[in-house]
Amino acid sequence: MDGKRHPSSFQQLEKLGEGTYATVFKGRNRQTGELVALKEIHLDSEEGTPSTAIREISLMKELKHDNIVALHDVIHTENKLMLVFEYMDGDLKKYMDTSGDRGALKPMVIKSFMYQLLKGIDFCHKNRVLHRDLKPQNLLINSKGALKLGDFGLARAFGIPVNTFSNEVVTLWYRAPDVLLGSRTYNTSIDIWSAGCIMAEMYTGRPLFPGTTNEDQIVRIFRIMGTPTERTWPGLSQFPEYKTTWQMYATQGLQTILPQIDPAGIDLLQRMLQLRPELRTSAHDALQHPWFNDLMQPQQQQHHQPQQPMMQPHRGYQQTVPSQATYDGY
Amino acid sequence: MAHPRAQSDAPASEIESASDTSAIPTPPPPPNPSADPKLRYLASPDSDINSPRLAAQIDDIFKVSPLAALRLLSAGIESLVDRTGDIPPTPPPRSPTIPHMRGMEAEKKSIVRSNSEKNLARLMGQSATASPRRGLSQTPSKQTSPTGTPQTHAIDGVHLRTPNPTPPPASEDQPQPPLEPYIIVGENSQPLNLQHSAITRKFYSRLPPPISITDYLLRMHRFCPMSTAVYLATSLYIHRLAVLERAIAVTRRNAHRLLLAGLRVAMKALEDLSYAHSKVAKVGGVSEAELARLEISFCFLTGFELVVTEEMLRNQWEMLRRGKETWELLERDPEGVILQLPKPPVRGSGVVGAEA
Repeated sequence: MDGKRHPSSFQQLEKLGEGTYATVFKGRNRQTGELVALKEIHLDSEEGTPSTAIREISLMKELKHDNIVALHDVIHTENKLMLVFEYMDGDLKKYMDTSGDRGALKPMVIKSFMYQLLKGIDFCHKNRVLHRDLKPQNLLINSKGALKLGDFGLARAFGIPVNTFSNEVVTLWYRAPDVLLGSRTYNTSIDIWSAGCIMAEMYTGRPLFPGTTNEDQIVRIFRIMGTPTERTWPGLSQFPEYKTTWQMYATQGLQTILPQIDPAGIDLLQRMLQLRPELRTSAHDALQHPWFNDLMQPQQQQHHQPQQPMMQPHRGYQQTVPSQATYDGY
Repeated sequence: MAHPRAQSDAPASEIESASDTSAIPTPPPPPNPSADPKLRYLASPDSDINSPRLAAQIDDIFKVSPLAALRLLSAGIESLVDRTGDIPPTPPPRSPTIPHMRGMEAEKKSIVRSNSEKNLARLMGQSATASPRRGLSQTPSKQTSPTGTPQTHAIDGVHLRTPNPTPPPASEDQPQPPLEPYIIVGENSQPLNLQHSAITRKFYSRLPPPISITDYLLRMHRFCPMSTAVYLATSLYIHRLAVLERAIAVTRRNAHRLLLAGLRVAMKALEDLSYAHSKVAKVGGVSEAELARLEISFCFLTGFELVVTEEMLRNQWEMLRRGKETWELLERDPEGVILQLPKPPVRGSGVVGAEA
């Protein structure tokens, strides 16, 4: 019998992180020597199997893509589930903290990461899945410069006749304005907002909108993007969290706040950070943006190994990522 | 209410200081969708639509009321049960034995047998040969793949990558390796799930529960109303297990527990809010520990294949709807049914596509 089927066929190495419902260890397949990430989920007899685990397993089984962390196995023991994921060296947050210049990354690394992030998002959206918690901690990086979406515990399928659609989604700093305003009919555009926030954060090394409360988060967004009105956003006043007391802020140009981004990059960012969800670009369209053009052009990749296949633009600009011991993104 | 004054104080400085070296604030905690205080589990009103017949006239599953979906689920399971008869669970292992292959084979054969006798699918199959229509989806359709090559069998809910290995010679004297206690889904999953019969046995009761399947579902719906998607997905999961994969025979002795587990798992997979475990256990008539076991067992039985799309739900709904219509007609006029069966919608093959 295949030795992989038993938990003991994995040598458990150091702890990588601890989440609300799971602990992640580095592991090694004793047969193949392959490194894996082992996510242990305690099975509670009071609430049964956590719905996050059911979601994550069922969705990641379907979502097989280069930019989504691969789920290899699910092993069931007496009182726990063990999810066996492909091993990644760290998450984007830790990578920025350790490798960035005060958290800021190099423009070409950012471009490669954004391309891969959007590829992963596009694949989710094409498969009718919302991630709903995109943030640097949930983007995993390996030493080959690949970026993959992880932690699908909050993800869900959309477009089916369900009864409950929570408004409590996406970590506050990366939460789209329509969600902050109380929308329950949000769609794929909420993941795009998060991607825009992540892009800005990679340039500056710090979160674009580090709010402390829902209210504070809204105001921080309006202060930069401008306070919307019923005229600029028809239907605005119908949102549950709409306030007539909002201070009116004028729109600031993103280029003045983020001077380190080139004009094409600002244009893409602007399209991702639209207040109105229906005006936000899609992952598919964002991938066609001219900003990514030079990812395809070999002559601009001098630092590249020549044998690197150029038809895989998202693998371009690979940069060595120092191996890091901890991350939370599973 | 907002405090515009307070909010306008902190701001400006922070934007400008966005690039200075002050400490990065601690990241906020991840959200918890089920903690949304305004998230209430509200089933849409059922009063306007309470017959599946009426629902059947709607072509948009978003307009199918949960109760209508529930009734179709109920009718679909009842018909499965009717056609299956009472098949006992595979016997418990006398000693830790490896693959309960003989039991599973027997179970599978009896499903085939019960399907082949007085079953609608066969009738439909006959009609399909006469006029090439899509038969009722109950036909066991996995014997050959569309290309005509022998398809890899899906036994026990686990898809084989290689053709069905012959069952190991079941010599009881042979020293048995210890019972493999672990189950795997995923890329490295084994062709044969050794735990299969141990899992399926968890759903059986010794005697059929005193409450009918329909009443049981109505009781669930009364105390724990669920959505159209949850009801249709549960139906889809169970039909896939029983008909397509033939992983378990649905009988009067296991249908209730299969439904309870299916509903619970579908709700956790598809909704942002689930009922408390204790409540579901109470309404479902099992202990909390048993509900937990049934739930995880159902997950493994289905191989965690729980993601559904609108199209899959619509196909399931159409299958159930036409099934119900056909079963009703069959009771009155067995001969007429085949001729009167409506043409399948062009929309495409059902989830349980049957080309007899």
